[in-house]
Amino acid sequence: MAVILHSNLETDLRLAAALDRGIHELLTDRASIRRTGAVMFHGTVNDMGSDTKRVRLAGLNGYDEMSTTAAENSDVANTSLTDDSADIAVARGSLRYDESDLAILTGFSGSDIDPIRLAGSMVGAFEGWFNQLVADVIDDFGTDVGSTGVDMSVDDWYDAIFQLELSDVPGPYFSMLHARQIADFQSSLRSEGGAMQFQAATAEMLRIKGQGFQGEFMGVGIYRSSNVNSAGGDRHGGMWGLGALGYCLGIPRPIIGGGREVRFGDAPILVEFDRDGSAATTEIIGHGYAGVAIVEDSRGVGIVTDA
Amino acid sequence: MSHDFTGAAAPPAEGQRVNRRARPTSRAYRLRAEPYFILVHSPLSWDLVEMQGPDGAQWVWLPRLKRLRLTPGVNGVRQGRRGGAPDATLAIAQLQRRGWIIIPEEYDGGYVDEYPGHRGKVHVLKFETPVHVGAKTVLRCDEDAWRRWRLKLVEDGIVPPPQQEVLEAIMDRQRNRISRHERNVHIPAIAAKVEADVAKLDAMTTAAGVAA
Repeated sequence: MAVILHSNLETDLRLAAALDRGIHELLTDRASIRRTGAVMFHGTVNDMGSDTKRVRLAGLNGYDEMSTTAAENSDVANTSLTDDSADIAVARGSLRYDESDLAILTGFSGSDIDPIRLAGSMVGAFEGWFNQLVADVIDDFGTDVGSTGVDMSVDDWYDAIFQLELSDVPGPYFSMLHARQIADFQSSLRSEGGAMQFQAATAEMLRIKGQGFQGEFMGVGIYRSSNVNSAGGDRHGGMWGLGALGYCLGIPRPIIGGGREVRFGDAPILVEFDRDGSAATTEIIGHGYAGVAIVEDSRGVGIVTDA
Repeated sequence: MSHDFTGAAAPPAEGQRVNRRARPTSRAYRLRAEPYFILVHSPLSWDLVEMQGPDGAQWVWLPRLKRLRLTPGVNGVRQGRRGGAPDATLAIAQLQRRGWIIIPEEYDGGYVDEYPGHRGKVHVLKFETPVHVGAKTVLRCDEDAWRRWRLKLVEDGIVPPPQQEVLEAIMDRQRNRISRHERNVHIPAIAAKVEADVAKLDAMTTAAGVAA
């Protein structure tokens, strides 16, 4: 009497492979530096009459110091006020998925790729785009530490801090580095002597600062991002004090005659659904408006080390 | 005397760029899309590297170059007017106001190559070549050529030679590195590192003398 084997039942009574009901996320960098406070928010361009905000800088509150006069009745010369500005241009970031009705209806109910799940994914897509904007900005600091073609070391870290301190940059300090730079840095740290400690991110810190936060070293928060740019064989990370970088947003207004739009908490994005009826397809489109710029170059330093 | 970069400020429209060499390939590279960029240099940013010269290896101060990516939303780059190319006029003006030097896009026949990537066009330096490695793509850089090109920028007067004070500040950092490790030179690994750092400081001093 023949035994009923599973292999004999395939593929009429058994499946060669059954789909897991859950969908697991592919590996990607989900850090959000925007929410950490490392980049200063300079408001929105809504109702501003321009897509570009000019951040005004003036030498106040001790930038110009008083000087002792020769005599009690000496005439004092006029001092020109030092001023500067930085432009933050806001641009549109966008992402669109099209999904057919058949693809939607054949999915597992409640746990599959459908328009709502794709719309929810737009928040992460926006933060990823924002991270890339920050990475593109920090590789344009005017002063660099590190050496071309040489792995990052603790010495580079000290150089960066010294550079900021020499420029009287007030804290807190932040850094954004590529995983390669952090790995090299930690490797260098292992051979260090003396009292210094890398304070790895605890669960509590991660809860507050989110994925990507690696911990602190000498009081500087370290953020890891795969968005850190590579050029000429080097990685271009950076360290900066608060106020070095700034960002602006544009918040999309409610769509006239809407009802097909979705908002997600405080995420400054708009997700809308559009319908191509003749193709039985739903378009899921996310928009966000943001701009990042170096507001004061002397408050930051590039960390350029081997890629 | 500083170089006059008038005329390099306003980039032509996207479709009109002649300095970007399209590199066709049968298979798109698995690299993230990289926008077109203009190389820029801060007079504060120099790097000491070892190069092979006619008289053997020598240490040379080379300008560090940054990429002003024509990505709208970054450092004042605006989205194109009427659907055109990104507008970097403000961004370039800001950099020039801060004393940065803009490397003309047409210098030396252009310096940007364009490759097809799986998520859009990939713009890289002409010294960088994408290479398929299994399912991945790595970017291979001809670092010798890249260094020679950066030296040529100085020789051709595109980038003025470094100011002595800037080099002195970089050498100060090197001295700090050495002094930080001096108390631990009894550890063989640290001693070797200090020795290398001292040699580099000597090279910096010699090269600074040449640059001055």
